[in-house]
Amino acid sequence: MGKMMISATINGDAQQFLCDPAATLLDALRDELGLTGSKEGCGSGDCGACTVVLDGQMVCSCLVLAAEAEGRKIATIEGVAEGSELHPVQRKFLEKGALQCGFCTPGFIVASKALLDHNPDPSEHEVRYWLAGNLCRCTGYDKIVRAVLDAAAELRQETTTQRVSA
Amino acid sequence: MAQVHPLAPFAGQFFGGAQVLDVAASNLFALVDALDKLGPGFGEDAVLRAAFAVNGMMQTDWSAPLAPDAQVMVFPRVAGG
Amino acid sequence: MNAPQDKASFKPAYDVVGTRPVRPDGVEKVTGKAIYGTDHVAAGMLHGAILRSPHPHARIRSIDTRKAEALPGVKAVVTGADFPSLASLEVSLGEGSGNIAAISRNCMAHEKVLYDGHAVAAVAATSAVIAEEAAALIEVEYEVLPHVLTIDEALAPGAPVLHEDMFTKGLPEKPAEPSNAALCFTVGRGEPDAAIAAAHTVVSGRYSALAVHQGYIEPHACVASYNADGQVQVWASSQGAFMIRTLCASILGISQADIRVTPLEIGGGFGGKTKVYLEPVAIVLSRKSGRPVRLAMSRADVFRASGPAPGVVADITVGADADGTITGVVMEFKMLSGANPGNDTHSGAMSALAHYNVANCRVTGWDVLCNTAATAAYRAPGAPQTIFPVECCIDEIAQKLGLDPIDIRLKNAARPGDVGIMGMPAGEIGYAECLEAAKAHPHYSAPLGPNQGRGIAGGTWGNYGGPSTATVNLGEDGSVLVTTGSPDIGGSRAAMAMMAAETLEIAYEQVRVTIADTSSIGFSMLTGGSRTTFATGKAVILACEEIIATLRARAAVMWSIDVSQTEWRGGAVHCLSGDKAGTSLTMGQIAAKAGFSGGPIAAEVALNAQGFLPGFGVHICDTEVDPETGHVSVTRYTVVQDVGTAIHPDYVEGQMQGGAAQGIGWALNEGYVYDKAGRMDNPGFLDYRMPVCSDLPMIDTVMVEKPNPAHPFGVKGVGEVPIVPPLGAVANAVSRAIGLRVHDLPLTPDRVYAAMQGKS
Ligand code: FES
Ligand code: FES
Repeated sequence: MGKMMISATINGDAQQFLCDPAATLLDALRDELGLTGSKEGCGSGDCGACTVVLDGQMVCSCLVLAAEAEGRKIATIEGVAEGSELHPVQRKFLEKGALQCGFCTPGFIVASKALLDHNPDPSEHEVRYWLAGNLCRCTGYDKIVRAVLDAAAELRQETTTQRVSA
Repeated sequence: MAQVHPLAPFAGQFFGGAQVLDVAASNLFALVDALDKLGPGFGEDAVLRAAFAVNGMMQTDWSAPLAPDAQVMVFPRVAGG
Repeated sequence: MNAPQDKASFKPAYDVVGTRPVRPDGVEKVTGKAIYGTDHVAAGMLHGAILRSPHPHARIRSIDTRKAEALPGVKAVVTGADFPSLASLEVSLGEGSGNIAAISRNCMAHEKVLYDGHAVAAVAATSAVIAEEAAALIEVEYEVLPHVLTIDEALAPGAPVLHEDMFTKGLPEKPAEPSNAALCFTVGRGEPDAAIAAAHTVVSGRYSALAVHQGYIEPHACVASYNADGQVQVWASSQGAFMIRTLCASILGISQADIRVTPLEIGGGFGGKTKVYLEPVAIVLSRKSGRPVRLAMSRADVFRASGPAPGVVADITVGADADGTITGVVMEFKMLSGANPGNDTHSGAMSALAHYNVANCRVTGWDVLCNTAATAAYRAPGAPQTIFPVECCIDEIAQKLGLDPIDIRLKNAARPGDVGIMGMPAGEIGYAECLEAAKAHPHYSAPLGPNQGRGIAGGTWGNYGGPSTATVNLGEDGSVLVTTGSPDIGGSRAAMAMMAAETLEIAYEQVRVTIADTSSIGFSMLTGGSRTTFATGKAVILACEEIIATLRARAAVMWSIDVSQTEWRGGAVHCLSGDKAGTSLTMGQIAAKAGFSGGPIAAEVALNAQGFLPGFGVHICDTEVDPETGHVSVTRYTVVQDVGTAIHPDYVEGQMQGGAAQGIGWALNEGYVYDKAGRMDNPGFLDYRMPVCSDLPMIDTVMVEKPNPAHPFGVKGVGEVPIVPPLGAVANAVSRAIGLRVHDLPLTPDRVYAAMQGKS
């Protein structure tokens, strides 16, 4: 069977790409679109290194067929920063030393941002359970959890300031 | 004379189980040569497998001068992760 | 989170060392731009696939590749026949040595397969899908042989032997028959049997732990490109580009100058990326196809075919006086090293008692082979397995004698000047300080709830120094470029930049660090043995000192004074005499005129770093055991470690926390499981259960900073020690929570529950 042509919105841009019917969204992002920030740690939905947001839902892109992306919106690690301005989650990961090898980091950042987008004030417990699908073998998670809690606090601050100034 | 203390497996494999050997050597290259004469084959094995401690400090630079009364331990090299 | 306060008094004041700046490679890694193993693409690249053995032990009768070769899109198929048939040849690999023939056969089986997952053939094709399809079309005729999976099976009389030419080393007499015991190694001193016979209190037991995987999240991957003139390029993620160069050159008979290995970012290694698996195969595929070839492992391949740490069975007896002084230890352990002789037996034996003064002891280690993946180093290789039984026994003695578990360790702790089991007096080591700091930590005296128990364990690892090269170049504007050949696995670029900035007395941001390919910088041993910040760091510091000397000399000429009349301060040369006295020249001002003086300002230092010291740690672990299920949760955890000087405290703490988490996984969840047919039963993250975020509490850290006098800033290796204590700390915590000891790891709910049922 030949390749399929898929149209989707990726990090806000309308894109078209070709894919094998059996190819995963992760394969398409990495191989067809050159977006190698999403990583493959397992290919079976167990490590979260491939985490992206599909129509507002956090998913493991290794478990989604590329063809399923047709007509949908996908947000990847490459779209988290606004231009050269890092997202607070990214900045806090750097400031808190929340990465060692950095291989799990894109998945953690996409997942953490997804958490904070719908829960601006998570407890440590909530952060730990939300991120339980993302494996990190280097850090023992301590600094990651702290970075996410710090980013949440900063984002709440920003929102409050915006409200006050508005 | 440097006092050489070969540990397992070198003591048994090359030096008939000797605990202490007195060897005149100006550095570890010379010491390994001298030990190779006492226990033929040691020289080749040492390059691959031996670690040396001189007066209590690990020494991986075989060209460093050896004091005449140096205490030299010989034991298997280990690799880290 | 800093331990002994009085340290501040003698600690030199540093401007950069000890601060927590953002790492120079950080932004690339939080934005997804950093290029790891499978991210590199070469123009015209093919995709490879490897066919792996479904049998744990079999002779390869024949391989028919014709159908695979006929598949459209297939550009090359290779088998063991495409590799030079090497005689058994050992090469020195810095810290250890390796048998090139065995390494080559582990990359691609020649006449026998030795474990489930052993590579038997490989394909390169225009797509990964075609490559996989072609690999499945390769027909291999196996003569299946009986296999061995456990120590008992491997050592049983008449057991099938993996290597017919392997005779146990280290025995008084060479054995008459080959066997699966590769090595027997004994260290000791005094009269341990007599000491135990005369001891006031004796404890003993048989302890075991399973093989566990390093569990790096990035699978092995590389791209190789072989050119018609015999020059090769390899892009790979590993702990040492030079290690890859050495091994590929030796396996394939290529000059080292013809192999250029570019290190990509590495997604974790922990010792597991100190070997080659794919690179020689990719080179051979590329030679045959004339195109660059990418090879990458799946997660299942990583589990089945890359190195776990060996499992262990250890019998131990410990005797002590009434006051808790340990008088004698006898331990015999067997490491299950998998398909090839392992590296953990020597280090396990030498580490087992390295943190205590034991006058009478005998530690005997056996290296035992079986039909599972060849093991690889894993963070302090060998030490967790042998220190775990020691720490459990010490805990039992403390309980029997009614002693505090930290006090009994303090009583026996190795201190500077004490002569260890290897006959070496200890240097500036900080085990006793760690124990004191643990005792003073609020965690140690916090109350425990129902079904909870608190465990203590100590541990040590020897660390390493060794050869490294660093270059420092100044830009025309005076900015500083540091280049090394040491892959950055956990923030070492930041440490290099910080040590350079500290030496040069400039801002951290003025220094940038590059990790170069093997043709662009001199040799460095791999990133392992906790050596990089120590050894490569020392090379960086010395190169910066050369830069300072050059800048002073250039300034002296510009001022027409003797160099002794100049001074380096605050990143500039100051003039002390003549008519320019009191003025200064910055690095930028001197560098801008480099073309009018001696040319570019650069320094290269290649060294063999001496004076490394072992590291020590003490962990405090609280566990809660569910009486209904036997499930163990870690409720609080504190890591205390002698770290020398912490260059970048975040990354030192990160090593401590990460190592502790891995050790907790080893103690509670992880382990290789095989079915009866000898196939790995859990080759995926779902069934091989590593700790996830919700399994763990915050991991508190206390850095005890006892500087290493042999390093300009006092650095000691920190990366490996923290995986050593957790096995004992968790086991001791569980035994105190349930009132009895489970000797076998992992402490899975069924095991703990069964033990509790047996008691009641
Ligand atoms: S690669 Fe998708 S979850 Fe691991
Ligand atoms: S930082 Fe290496 S896996 Fe998370």
